[in-house]
Amino acid sequence: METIDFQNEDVLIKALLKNDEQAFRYLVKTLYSQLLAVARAIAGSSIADEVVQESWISVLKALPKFEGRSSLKTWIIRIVANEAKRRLKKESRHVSLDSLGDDNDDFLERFDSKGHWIRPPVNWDLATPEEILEEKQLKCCIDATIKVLPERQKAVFVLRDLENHSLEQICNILDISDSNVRVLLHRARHKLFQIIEKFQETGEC
Amino acid sequence: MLSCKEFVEQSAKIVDNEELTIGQKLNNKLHLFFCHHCRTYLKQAKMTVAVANKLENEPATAPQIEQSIAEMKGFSASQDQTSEPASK
Repeated sequence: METIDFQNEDVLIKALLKNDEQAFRYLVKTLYSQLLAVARAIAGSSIADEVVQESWISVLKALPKFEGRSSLKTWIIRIVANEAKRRLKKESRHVSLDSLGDDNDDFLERFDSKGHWIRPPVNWDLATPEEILEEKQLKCCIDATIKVLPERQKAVFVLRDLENHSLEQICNILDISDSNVRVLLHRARHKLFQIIEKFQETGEC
Repeated sequence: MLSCKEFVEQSAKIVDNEELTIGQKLNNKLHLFFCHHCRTYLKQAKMTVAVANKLENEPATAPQIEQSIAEMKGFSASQDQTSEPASK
């Protein structure tokens, strides 16, 4: 069977315009998780899957007009974000900030009132990202930690650290301020930091 | 001089290689020179982000994939139907 290079955006777009099922499958497999994270962050978990499913049709409808001013991935993320915002407005739903994850950064409890360390960081024996990720138990804990991050933290973390979007793009996609994006990212990273640290200290997490 | 808490709160800019003012750079360097705990923190905060950069998104489930493809195929079939009379 012929192997088609869907990583090449032009090839992928042409195939999508021809309604190629392989291209549909590639697109869905590549993007679903991050689209779901965005939809959850804007509209909440209960309708996020529905939002993503409905967005595929909007993507196909608008694709002939895609001008390539951003990457296809970013363009599709924006469509999903807009669909999530539209659904939220249409249903006059209110998504509470609590459910979206504005929890506290418990890392800051490691300082006294003068800002000195009470519980300073310990040195890590595992000295490279590869060594850290080779520890199966730790990798499971990292995955589990990310899975249960509050929705907005998760979306910011996924878009920034896994998918390498700029902070400015993330602000636009999620409609939140630069300072809020930074706070959410810092909190998510601190959770990961503490999971790795605990494993290094105790051998478990 | 910055407190350790203040250093940690604004250290993401160092981790993300963002542009800092000369004053911020000096404050950070001065703090790091005197504080080995914050040196350890910074090294490990950078490591944490390097770990995150190597992670992959949780894969979509089979029903999520199949339903998405069904939506797309449904749409393309409806387009084919509407375009048929025009092509005759």
